[in-house]
Formats: sequence, C-alpha cells, structure tokens
Amino acid sequence: MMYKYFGFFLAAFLVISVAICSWIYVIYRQEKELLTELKRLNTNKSEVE
Amino acid sequence: MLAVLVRKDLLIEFRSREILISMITFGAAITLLYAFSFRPSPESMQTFAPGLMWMVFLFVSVLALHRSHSLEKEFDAFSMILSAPVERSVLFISKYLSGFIFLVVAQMVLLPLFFLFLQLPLPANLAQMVAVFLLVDLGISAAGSLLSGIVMRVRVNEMLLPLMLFPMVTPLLISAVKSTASIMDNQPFNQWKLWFQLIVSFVIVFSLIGYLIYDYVSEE
Amino acid sequence: MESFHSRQSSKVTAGILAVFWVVVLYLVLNVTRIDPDQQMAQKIFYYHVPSAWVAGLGYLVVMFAGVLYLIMKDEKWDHLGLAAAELGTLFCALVLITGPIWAKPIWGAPWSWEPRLTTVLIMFLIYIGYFMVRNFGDEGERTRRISAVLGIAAFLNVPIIYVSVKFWAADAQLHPQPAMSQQSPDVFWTFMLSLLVFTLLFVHLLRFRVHILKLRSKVLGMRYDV
Repeated sequence: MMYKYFGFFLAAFLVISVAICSWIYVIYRQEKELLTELKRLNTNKSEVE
Repeated sequence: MLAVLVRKDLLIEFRSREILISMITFGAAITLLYAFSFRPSPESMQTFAPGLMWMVFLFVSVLALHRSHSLEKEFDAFSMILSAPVERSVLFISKYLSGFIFLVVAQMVLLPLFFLFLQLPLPANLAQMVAVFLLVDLGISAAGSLLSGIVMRVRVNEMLLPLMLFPMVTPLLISAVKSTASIMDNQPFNQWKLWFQLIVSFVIVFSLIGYLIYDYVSEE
Repeated sequence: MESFHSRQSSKVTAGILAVFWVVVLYLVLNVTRIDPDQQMAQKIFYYHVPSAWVAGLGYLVVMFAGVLYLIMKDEKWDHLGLAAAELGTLFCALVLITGPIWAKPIWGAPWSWEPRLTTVLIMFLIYIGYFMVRNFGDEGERTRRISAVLGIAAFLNVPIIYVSVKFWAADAQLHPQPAMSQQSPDVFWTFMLSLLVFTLLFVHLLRFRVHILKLRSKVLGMRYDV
C-alpha cells in the first residue's frame, strides 16, 4: 500500500467492480419484474380459461 | 436495369437540382467559414487544408445520402421499386453510383472554391489527386449508401446517419487526408502508398458488404 | 420459466466467479512484482487488458450472431447479438475509462490518439449508433435484421480502423506492448487467471442476459395475446 499511484489502481479497480455490479443489478431487477409479470399473465390466463 | 435505376436518380436530380444545390451551398458556406474564422500563415493553412477539405466533403455527402434515400420514402416509392423484378443488390449499386456521381459533381465546384478562398497552391500531380478523390468518393458512397439504407426505416434518421457514418468512415477519412496532404506536398507515390492501399481496401470491403447485405436491409 | 440463478449451474458459476474475483485481487496486490517506475499503476493492466479482450470477444459474437440471425431468422440469435453488444460496449467503456486512469500518472496526459485507444473509441461510438437504431426502431423483425447487418459491418471494419490509426499518428505509438510470454511467472499466471475470470464472467453474463431477453420476448408475446 505504500507504493506509488495506489490511488489510481484503486480507482480503476473500483470503477470496474462497480460497473459490473451495477449491470448485474440492473438486469437482475429486470428479470424479477419480468418474472412477476409472467406470473401475473399466467394467472390471468388461467382465470379467463 | 441498373442503368435505368441510376438514370432515374440522376433525372430526378437534374429536374430539381435539390441535392446538388444544397450540397454546393452548404459546402461553400463551410469553406467561407473556414476562411473567416482563422487566418493562419500559408504554411499552417497548407497543413490543415487536407483535413478541412475532407470534412467539408463528408458533411455535404451526408446531405446527398440522406436525401437520396428519403426521396424513395415519398409516396412509398420504395415498396414499388421493391416489387419490380430487380435484385435488391442492384438497388444498392444504383444508390451507390448516384451518390458517387453527386459527390463528384459537387466536388468539381467546391474544390476550386476551396483552393481559391483558402489561397492554396495547386499540387503538381493533379492526376494522382483526381484518382484519390474518385476512390475516396466511392468509399464514402459505399458506406453511406449502406448505412442510409439501414437507418432510413428508423425514426430520427437525419441524426442517425451522420452519427453512424462518421465513426465507420474514420479510416477512410484518415487515409484521404494523409494522401491529399502527401500529394499537395508533392511527395512521390511510394511515400503515401499505404494510405492509398487503405482507401482501396475500404472501398472493396464496403462495396462488397453493401452488395451482399443490402438484400436483408431492404426487405419489408 | 424460472429465474436464471435458480439453476444449480448458474449458482455454482456465480460463486466461482465471486471467489476468483477476490483471488485475483489478492494475487495482484500481494504476489505480483512491483514495476519500479509505474508501481501500483502498472497493476491496472491486470484488469484493463482482459476488459479489452472481453469487449473484442463481445463484438465478435455480435457479428456471428448477426450472420446466424440473417441466415436462420431465429429470434434467439438476435437475443445473443443484443446481449453481446451490451456486454461488449460495457467493457469497451471500461477500457476507455481505465486506460486514461493509467495514463494520467504514467504519460502525464489521460488521453492520446494512439491506435488501440482510438480504435476502441471508434468502436464504442459505432455501437452507440447500434443502440440508437435499436431504440428508435420499432420492436419488429426489421429492426432485428438491421441490427444484425450493423453488427456485421461494424466488426468487419475493425482491422481497417486499426491499421489506419496505427499508421496515422506515428508519434503517438506509446501503448505498452508487453510480450506476455517473456513475463515472469507471477505476472504471467496472474494475468492468465484474470483473463480466465473475465472470460467466464462474460459467458455467464451473456447467458444470463439472453435468458432475460427470452423471458422478455415471451412476456411481450403474452401481453398482446391477452
């Protein structure tokens, strides 16, 4: 940690980790929404039938 | 069939001269802006001239490319052409050639204007310059016709065409500027051979891609 | 349909990825040697280069998916293409961010017009156009076809872009060219592990995203049936 430019390394590492985690979070949320909607549509369908 | 299509595009243009007039006016306006906005020494101007020149031509080509395809949208002309017994790839070549012709004609007017207003010396080897210009125009028209065919069906296409065209055309632009600069510096062909080869590669690659793929782009 | 991560295989992969992400970080910080001039900044390379590799891989997949979509006309290839384009562009952006972060202390200036960075920037811009076309087009088959074509044309342009930029600014050839085979084992194996982790991450995220796109397609289909 006492080496030079540690801040830069940390910045780069954090940017990458945060970006990847954010992407995972965004698509995870989308999956959740889609699954609830799918469930809703399925129950609607079975009610209609 | 190809001749008919190209002739149709050229005839439409000849009657209204919309595309050419807008290209030349816009090009002249930019050239004038260049002349007014900075007054560098003649040596600096010579350094920047190739880049400035090709930027003008790229901008005016967008006008031609956009207009050429959007004309087809009026009265649904495009679907009528599609229902004619012509191969789609031939359609691409007709757009390609007419785009090329528009660009060359516009350049014939704009280039002398450019040299005049920016007070540039004429290069010794005019034949080389003409060859390079013709090839680069082919390249711009190839990539541009393919891309404008693609974006024409999408909303906001006036913005999308330059947005997509400029990055794609960057290698061509770099090569054009480097070649033009070398010619204006009266350098022998060997010195800028690489750029010439790149231009030719670009033209070949995009002409082929356009020819092979335009089919898929223009289906309804 | 169920959630992607309810599957055993996905859970295992995700777990492995998380563990090895930490392992690589540990190795980078404690095991790899310190470059005398660049010190900690050099270690960015363990993340910057694999990101570039994944971006290129992503765009290659977009091209193949495009070709397959045009031939087979099966929607799943379009899903693959879109997912790969998203990931490719994400990692492209990461290359464009980590590059300047490294360059600022080492070269003094964050940006320079050297071939690799410039090529990556141009690819990034082309793909922004790709996403705009996808967004502004309607949901139909035509947009998918057009995207396939764009993905193919974009990738085929890459070698030309690279060569032209390489010879354009002959004075800006500053990008370090480490010969990987000549590096010491601590550097080499850590780099390889990082590359493996990034590749595995790419594949996992790609499959995850394709699963979601399939789900979305299903929901959209059902929505308009009911």
